[in-house]
Amino acid sequence: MNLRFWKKTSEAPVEGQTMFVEHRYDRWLLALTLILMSVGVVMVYSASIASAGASFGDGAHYLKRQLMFVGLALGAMVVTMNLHHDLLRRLAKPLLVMAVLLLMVVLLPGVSATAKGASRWINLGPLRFQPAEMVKLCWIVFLADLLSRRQAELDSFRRAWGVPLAAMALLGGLLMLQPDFGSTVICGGLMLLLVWAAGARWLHTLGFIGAGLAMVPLAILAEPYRMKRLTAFLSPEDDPLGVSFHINQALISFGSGEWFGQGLGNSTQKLLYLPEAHTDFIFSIVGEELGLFGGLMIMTLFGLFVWRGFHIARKATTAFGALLAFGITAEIGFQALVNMSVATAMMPTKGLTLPFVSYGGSSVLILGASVGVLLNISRQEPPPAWMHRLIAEKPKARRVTSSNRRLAAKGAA
Amino acid sequence: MAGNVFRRRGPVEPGARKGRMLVVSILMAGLFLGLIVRSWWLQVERHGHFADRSARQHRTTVTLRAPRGPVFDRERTLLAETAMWPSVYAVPRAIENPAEVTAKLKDILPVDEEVLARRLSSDKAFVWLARHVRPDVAEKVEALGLTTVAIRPEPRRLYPRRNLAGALLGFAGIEGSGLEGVERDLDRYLQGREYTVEALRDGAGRFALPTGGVPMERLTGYGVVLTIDARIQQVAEDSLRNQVREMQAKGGVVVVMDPHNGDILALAQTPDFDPNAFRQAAADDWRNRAITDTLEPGSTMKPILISAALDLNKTRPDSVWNGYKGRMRVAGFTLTDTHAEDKLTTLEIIKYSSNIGTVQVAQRIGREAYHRYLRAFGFGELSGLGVRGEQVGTLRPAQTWRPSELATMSYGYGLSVTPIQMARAYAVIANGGNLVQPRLVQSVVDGQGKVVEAFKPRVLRRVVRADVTQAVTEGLVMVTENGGTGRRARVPGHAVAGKTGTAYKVNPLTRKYDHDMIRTSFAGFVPARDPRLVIYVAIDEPQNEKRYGGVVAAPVFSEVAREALPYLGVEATEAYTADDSFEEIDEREHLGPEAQARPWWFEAGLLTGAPSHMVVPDLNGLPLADVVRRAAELKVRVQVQGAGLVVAQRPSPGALLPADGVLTVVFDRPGTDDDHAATLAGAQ
Repeated sequence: MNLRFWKKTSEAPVEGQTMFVEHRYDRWLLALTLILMSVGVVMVYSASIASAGASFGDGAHYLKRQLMFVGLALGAMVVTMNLHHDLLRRLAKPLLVMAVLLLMVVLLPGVSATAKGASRWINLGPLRFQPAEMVKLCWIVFLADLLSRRQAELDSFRRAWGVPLAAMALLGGLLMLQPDFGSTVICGGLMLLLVWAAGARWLHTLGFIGAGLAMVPLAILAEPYRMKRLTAFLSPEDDPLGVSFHINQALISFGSGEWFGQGLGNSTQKLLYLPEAHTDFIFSIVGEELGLFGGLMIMTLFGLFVWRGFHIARKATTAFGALLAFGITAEIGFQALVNMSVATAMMPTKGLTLPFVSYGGSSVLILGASVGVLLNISRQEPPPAWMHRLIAEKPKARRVTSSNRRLAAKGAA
Repeated sequence: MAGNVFRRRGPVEPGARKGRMLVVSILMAGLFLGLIVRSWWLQVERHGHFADRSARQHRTTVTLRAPRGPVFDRERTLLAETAMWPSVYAVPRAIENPAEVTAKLKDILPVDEEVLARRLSSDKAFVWLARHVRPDVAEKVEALGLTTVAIRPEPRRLYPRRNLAGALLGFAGIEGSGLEGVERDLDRYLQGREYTVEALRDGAGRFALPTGGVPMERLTGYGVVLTIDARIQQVAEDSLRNQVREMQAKGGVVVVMDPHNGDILALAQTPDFDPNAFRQAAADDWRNRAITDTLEPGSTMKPILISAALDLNKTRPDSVWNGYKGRMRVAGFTLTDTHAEDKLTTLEIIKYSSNIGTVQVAQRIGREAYHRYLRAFGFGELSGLGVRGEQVGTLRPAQTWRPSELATMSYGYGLSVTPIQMARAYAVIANGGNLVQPRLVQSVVDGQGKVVEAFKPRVLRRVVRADVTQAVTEGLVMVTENGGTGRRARVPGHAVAGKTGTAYKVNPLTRKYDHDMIRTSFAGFVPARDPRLVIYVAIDEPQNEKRYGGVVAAPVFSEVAREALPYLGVEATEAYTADDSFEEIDEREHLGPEAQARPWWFEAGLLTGAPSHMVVPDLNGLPLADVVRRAAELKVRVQVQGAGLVVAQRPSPGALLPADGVLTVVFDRPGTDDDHAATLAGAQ
């Protein structure tokens, strides 16, 4: 394994002569990631100092843990940025199986940690692991692999949508058993986005978007707490001490920031008023302490991150790399947008973290690994020789089906 | 299907994928733009609204009280001060294993293990475990290194001289308001001023109080400088305590006063108590006996009568009176004197404490004149000491006196006086004829010791001529000379003027004078011809063999004077005279009324003001509402002090209270109180 960080060269044959091509990591993306994580560490400390002090008698409790998680995440990033991403093609199916298994394990009463009626964590002694974060990455890898292999067949409804829909049904079902509505929506959205971006037909995609939107009211009606969140969202000042307490506190926090905020560390809402100030609602504290200026800074960082991510996807040498980079970037970008929209009451409460910034071990760890994959794609390096054997697709005997026959007939014509 | 824009044939070109990514980019850019507009709307346009809501929910003004001011004696010795004292609190909500914490604390804190366990296992964010613990206890708690149990300093009232002047000082409750004595009566000076601070309140309802920025030195209560001299007070208390113990008496009072300006130099009493631990003392001991004990004075009243007669020119100091050889019949009963004399002069009436003589003097001036002079000497009126609870005593109008009563009044029965009144009356004789208002508070000072308010000595009125007081003083000096009843009051190097008193008390149960209940007293001043100290000593129900004022009370006078005069810089003027043996002299006094006599005025309720007594109920631990209800049932007037639950009452449960008497009930909050805790708890 080559652990050199910044550049890597490989021999590239060009028009009969031998030259060396530099394979650079995308320094922009790396820098943005490190800045976002640093901002996150600072904001987690600021937002959690009061609640950590009240619960653990140590105001730096969450800071210490977040620093440890960031360290682990950077380790994971170093590993994934140096492993060629094509290896993931080989691992796509096992990873999805693993994700499904994790989602089953989390439902077991003995191993799961339950919070607020949802069992979303697997207890690992002093640490807790949230499989949903892992599942999102595995889902993107699986879809990118599947779709890249079927580039030529995406016009076909069945070839494009069949497997993703079936897998989504399984994942969605398991996620809703926790229940984790936010992650289900994200996974479903990612599926639509990736299949469509890979080349599926507009008509099919729009049809699914319509069907997905139609599902939302049903899902909301199925669970009373979602209904509450929706009412809280629609009329936040009706019941400021009841269902709308959370969103009201978030708005009070965010709105009292003005242009430059109260100053770092000067939030008063974090004094046990705003629940989950250091996790899902950290953007409200950013708004309160650093103002519109601080919020714009965070948004700019994410904007630049998405731009670099899409840039990497556009420049990717393989369809798999392009779809993987696109999927990862879109996931991070949309999750950030949704989180910030929730904090500013543009969307009902979801339970999604602000990537890189929010406190959370599983989230930060998976994000580190994801950014590592993005960086690896950005190098545009062909897979090393030892990997060819692993990733070479074995020729598969195909059953003759009606659609095969139709394609064959078309090819003949 | 030709012309359908959504229909595209053939494999996807890389360009198409890139185009779709661009669509997503534009979508995201749009969302970001929306987010920016929304942020601007919330944070800038609507900022006022949210900032206001934010302030409303976590800014609050908390009203706090600054510490109490100190109490000094006349030499600025500290008698009471406020110090920061450690209190132990816990954050039960954060305690994972209350049993373990309880086990660690149970041997350190002076709290019951069960109480401790209950407080630690509650779900509160703050609870006091023990307030005002000793510093070494606080150190031990800190040494445990628990994160959920901590120390917070709280102001605590301390009385560094412990029992010294305890009943006079009284005490303040745990919340810093005066409940008894000087602490209560001078509360308006001593109490720290209230101030409001802008505090942050956190989501759990706790307060984070700003530590600096409060001009505490300007808010702390004023200091009070008393006229008490701690050294004299100490001598008076020690001497009184020893004598009471020796005589197996029930109690006693000593008043030491400056005759010229009325300064109270000492107010000692037994039993005493330590205001640091006032809860451990019987509530009845809290009362300041010098102003609340009203008793028939007995023979100490005689010099007042003689002064009146001399001032009216009805007699001269050397006039001779018939002694009737110790037996005289007057108004239907027979008077006897222990000193059977044939003839005695006016001054010898004082010297021998002759009842027969005083009765004749009283008859000569008449009841109206005698009553007028008693009033002029300050009997039957409040002394104006300024301490709540002072009694006036009883001095009935002259018209209501029966003929026999002029006789008994002349030697001090049938009226009741307080020790402070008696000391003030003797001050009139000592200072040349002026009635002064006793002064307890010299001045009020601020934190730098600057006088804020000074209290001037006040001369109220002229009572008798100076030549009269000179003459009476000579009579009083004779009392302590050979042959007098008060020889034991002598002070080496000084002439002493004084008068013994020995009186039966009325047993409230039998309503008769009781042979076993005797109150001995000695009132006098020293040096006799240039008086600096008036000292009144009363010792209640001595059990020794010779129960006379000259034997029981006079030695205390002597001891206090002997120790106190050097403090005042008074030099010995008289040649030292070694005491003769007391055995030779007759110190007996006639006690006046026959034993077992039933004083009709007592029966009629004229002396005590009530026909009957009631047994005081036990009100301990009751809230105010219950006390009011019980009081209404029993038809007793209640005076309420403090707030919370009853911690003490006066008189004590089971004691006898005249039906129109006032039952004083003291309320205080219990030592640990969660409501109170909320205002004191910090956020961190």
